[in-house]
Order: sequence, then structure tokens, then C-alpha cells
Amino acid sequence: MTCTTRRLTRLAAACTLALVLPSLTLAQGAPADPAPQTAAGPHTLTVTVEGIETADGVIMAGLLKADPAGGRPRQVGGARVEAVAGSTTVTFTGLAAGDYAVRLFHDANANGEMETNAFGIPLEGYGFSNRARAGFGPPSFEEMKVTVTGDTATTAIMPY
Amino acid sequence: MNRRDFLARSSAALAASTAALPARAQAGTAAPGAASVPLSNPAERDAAFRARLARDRRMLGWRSAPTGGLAQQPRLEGRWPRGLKGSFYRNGPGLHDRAGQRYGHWFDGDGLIQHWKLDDSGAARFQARFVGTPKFQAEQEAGRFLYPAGGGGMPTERAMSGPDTINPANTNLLTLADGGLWALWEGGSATRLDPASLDFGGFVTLSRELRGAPFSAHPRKGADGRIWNLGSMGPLLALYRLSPTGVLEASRMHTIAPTGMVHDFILTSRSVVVVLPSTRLGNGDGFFARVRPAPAEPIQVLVFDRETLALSRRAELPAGYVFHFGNGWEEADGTIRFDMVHSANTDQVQHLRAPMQGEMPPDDAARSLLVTIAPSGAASLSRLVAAVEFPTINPRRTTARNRYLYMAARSTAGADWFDAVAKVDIERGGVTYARYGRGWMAEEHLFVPRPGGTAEDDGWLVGTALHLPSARTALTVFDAARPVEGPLARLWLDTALPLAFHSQFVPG
Repeated sequence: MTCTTRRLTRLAAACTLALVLPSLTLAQGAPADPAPQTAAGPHTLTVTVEGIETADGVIMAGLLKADPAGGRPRQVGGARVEAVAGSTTVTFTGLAAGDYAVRLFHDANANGEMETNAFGIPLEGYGFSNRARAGFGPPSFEEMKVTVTGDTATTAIMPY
Repeated sequence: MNRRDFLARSSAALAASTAALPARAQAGTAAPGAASVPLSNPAERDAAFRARLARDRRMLGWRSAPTGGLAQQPRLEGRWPRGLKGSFYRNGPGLHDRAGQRYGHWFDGDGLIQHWKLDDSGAARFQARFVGTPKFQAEQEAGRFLYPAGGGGMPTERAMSGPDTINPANTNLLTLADGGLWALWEGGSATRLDPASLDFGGFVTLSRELRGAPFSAHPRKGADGRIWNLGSMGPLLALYRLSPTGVLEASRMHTIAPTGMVHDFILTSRSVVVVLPSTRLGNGDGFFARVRPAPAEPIQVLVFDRETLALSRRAELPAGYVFHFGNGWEEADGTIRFDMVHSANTDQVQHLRAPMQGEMPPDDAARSLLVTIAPSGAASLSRLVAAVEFPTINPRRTTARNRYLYMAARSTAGADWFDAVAKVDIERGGVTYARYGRGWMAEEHLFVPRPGGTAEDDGWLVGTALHLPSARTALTVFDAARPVEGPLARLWLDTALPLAFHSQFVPG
């Protein structure tokens, strides 16, 4: 069988139809320890991750922060925790006040990448802060947004 | 002749031939292209539909079927032909609304499978069941729609993880050499069904790399029983080759112009021929709104070697929209010929929203054309018949040269839906009609070969139609050799079914 190439997958990602979440792989390269530090501040953001199918592998999370100047949100941190069937939590500490969003995927085979099929459609579970849901594409930053002013909690649901 | 000259001349020739068509070609409730603005609110769509349904029986064609399905013993009218026995399966969107919320496109509703079990004696049994996809089951439990849909405007109560989250399995079926039955959509996986009970048997995973990948609703079988199909999403096109029992043997990815939908294709003895319509993916609420007309873009024809699945030839045709093909074949010198139902109107996908808000779809004046692609890629066209859709042929002629082509047709002036089945003689020219008469909305008809028959048209035309005066659906049989003689037999249900799309017949 001839498989797709990465270039083709990226083309699919550029298509408005494709249900692709290319930026989820931003969690790659994050430190192996949970709770990595981001911009200095006193606050904690706790993400309760629900709907995890199995205890295989890890949950990878990427933390996005809004650009106060109105530019695109930037990835400011990443976290990785052991997967737990059902529910677990991912915590980001040392955050300054501001608007954040978290994107997660269940890296069930712990290879550091979100597996996709030949069309770039995710083959592993994924979810977003603020219970945001993917429709014909990933949710917007606004839909995922969590405003951190003190210690803050949010929930992400992982569909598979 | 260069490409531009060819396109200009072909377009002019087609325009001229259209101008000479009888009035039926322009028949319809609205002029081609004159569709009203789609309603974005699902409750407003539902209200508009119900208001029209109360005074217009044609809307029965888009009324939802009961979610529990139907089981009936149809009443026979006429004399059932000896030898016509087997399972006639049909698939189409059967559930367009829940809890006062109505979908925005005909293509969105959950797949309702009809199973007409035909017996030599005419003592038929009928069953209809919704495909129990995860989507259907979740929404049945909730009592309302939960997921987004291609027609737009639906709330996203639950997340999609991929296309199969919303797979309605609502377009066609595939019968396999081992007796297996798949229900087909085109945006995601095929769905296994139990051929007797129609129970949901899970999505088909062709391979790990292709889990959840689009598998289109018009697979085609070679003379040896092997199965070819495509899947497309945006700029990606996958070609698949499967064994006669549905096991993946080969697949290959290609990049294409992002037309939005690639619904059907042609299989010859050597080639897979993919025809890309004059549309491009743009922006909009829901997938179908993104399939934008691109009338300045020619139709692209891509020819692939059916064994290696590699691109071998390209051609272009005048701009337009194409859903379906009847058959294609390849001659010794590599010349490819096939029929296609072509509309110069590239807005067809948008027009099929209309029934969701209680309007008849505008007539897009689709006509059947015979296309010839020379080994050099030069293309030429000739017109076969106007005002048709849903082309089918004798399945024994698939990938070989066929003389006859059968299509649902608007045969009378002013008809706003198909009222006949056209039989086209490709070799000698000429069209004859198996007519339904007034008050019918006819659907796709299959050619079923007579057991032991050898002549290409020795068999029956079998299909469903909605009878408006009695608000009932019936399955009708015509003699394909003598369609003008009218129906041989008819099986009546006691209710109207929503109009469906495609059928498959399994003898036995």
C-alpha cells in the first residue's frame, strides 16, 4: 500500500473541511515532568480531563496565551501526565493573570505525536479547555478561553 | 485545437443543443439558478417545511420516516414477472428533523435502509430501518440532534472526533461476494449491516492509515468482482482497490483541486476516471455551503491506471456540475468513453437545500452526455438525452461497452420531478420512456437482468416512486425491452417513504 506523505497531510490541514488539529502537536517537546513553568505569576490553572478511554500512554497538553496586542495566541507551555481511564488533571502553575486556552490529546502509544489517518484526521482522543468542542474544525481560542485571575479550574472532554 | 478553443466550442455547442431541447428540459418550479436564500435557523426551516407540507404533497418526499422503522407486506398490483426474485435494497436520508429542528440540506438526514424482499410469486416483504450508527443511537436516546451537520445551523452539543462521529450512512449500499452488505456515505467510513436484520455492524476500517477516511458512495466492480472506490476531502483524493469481499488490496493518495465533493467515478477495464466538477471549497456555515460554484473552472478529468492507481492522463470538459455516471469503457487504442449527467449550473449542491425549507429544488436542466477521451487527452461530447438523473445500466455490461442506459427522467412538459424512466440507445440514438404519468415522483430505477437472458435489455427496470394522490410509495417493475408498454407489476406500501438516493439488487 502507498501511504500518504506528511506534505499531503499538511495540505489537508490547510483545508477548511478537514477535521484536523495540527497545533495539538505543539505539546511535543514539552518537558516530561508535569506542571512546567510559564510566564512568572502567582496563579494555577487546573484542567480536569474527562472521558479518557484507557490508561495507555500519556495525556499531552499545550497551554496557549492570548496576545494582549491582538496577535495570534502563542503556546507558552506544555505538560504531560500519565493517562488514567476516566478522568485526570493537568496543572499549570506560576501563571500571570490573563486569558489562556489548553489543547490536549491522548498520546495512547506515547510516541509524542498525535496519530492521524491518511487524511490528517486524528486517530487519538483530543479535547480543549472550557469544554470546547470540535465541529467541522477545531474550536476558536474564544471557545477554549479560560480567564485566569486567581487559581482557576476548567474542564476538557476527550472524544475519540 | 487548444484547450480554450475546445472549451469555448464545446460550451457553445452545448448551449445550442440546450436551446433546442423540448420544454421539459426547462421545466420546474423555478428557473435554473433561482433558489431562495437558505434559512440558517433549524426551527425556522422546520416551520417553513411543515407549512408547505400541509398544502403540498410533494413535500412527503422529504418528510421524516418513523424512527422505529417500518415493516409491511406490500400489496401486489398486476402480474409479477417470473424469475424476478431477490433483495432490492435502497438507501437515502430518512430523518430530516428531530424536536422541531430541521437539517439544512437533503444530504444530512440519517440513512434509512429499505429492504424489499421480492419473491417469484409477488408475495413481497418490506422492511425499513435506520442505520444504527453511533450518531443515530445517541440522538435517538437524547430525542434531539446533538451534532453539527453539512447543511449548517445545527448546535454542536457534542464534539466531533472525526467524520464518523456524524456519519449518517445515508447514500448507497455495496454488496459483497461473501454476502456482506455495507451502507455508504461519502464523508467517512463504510458501515457494515446485517443483510437480513439490517442491524448496524460497525464502521469498516480498511487499514490503520485509513481508519475513518472518506469512502465514497459509488464504488464500482470490475468484471472479476474486485471493487474500486475513491474518497476525497479538500485537496486530497484517495483511490482504493478492494477484493470482492471488501478487503483492501491497494490504496494511493493524490492531490486534487479542492472541489468539495467528488461523488462518483468511472471504472473501465484499465482505468479509474475521476471527474472534478466546477466548484471550489470556500467559506460558509456547514460543509455544503462551502461548495461554491466556480463556473470559470473547466471540469477536470483525471485518468488513473486501475492497477497501480497512478495518474496516467488528464483532460478538461466544459464547466458544470456532475454527480453521476452510468458506465464507461476503454477501447483497444486507449480511447475512453463514458456517460455523465451534466448540468451547466455549478450551484447544484446549494439547490438541494430547498426541500429542507419546503421548496422544490430548482430544475438544473441536467442532461446526459457521452464523453470521449482520446489517448492524447483530447475530449469531445455528444448529447444523449435531456432532463435526467440516476443513470444505471445492465450490471453485466459494467466496464464493457453498453448500448443501453436507463435514467430517471422528466418526460413531460412542466414536470417538476422525474415522471418516467428513460431508456437511451447509445449506439443508434433514440429515447423511449417507461412512464409513470401524473402525480408520481419517480426515483432511481435499476436494471435487473432476467435469469438466463443474454440480450443487453432482457430484464426489468425496478424502482420506487412516490404516488402523490394516495400518499403512498410503490415499487414498480417495467419490462426493460419494452418500456413503453408501461408497468408490469407494482408493490404498494400503505405509507409514503421519504425519497431516497440509490439502490442495489441481490438476486436469490
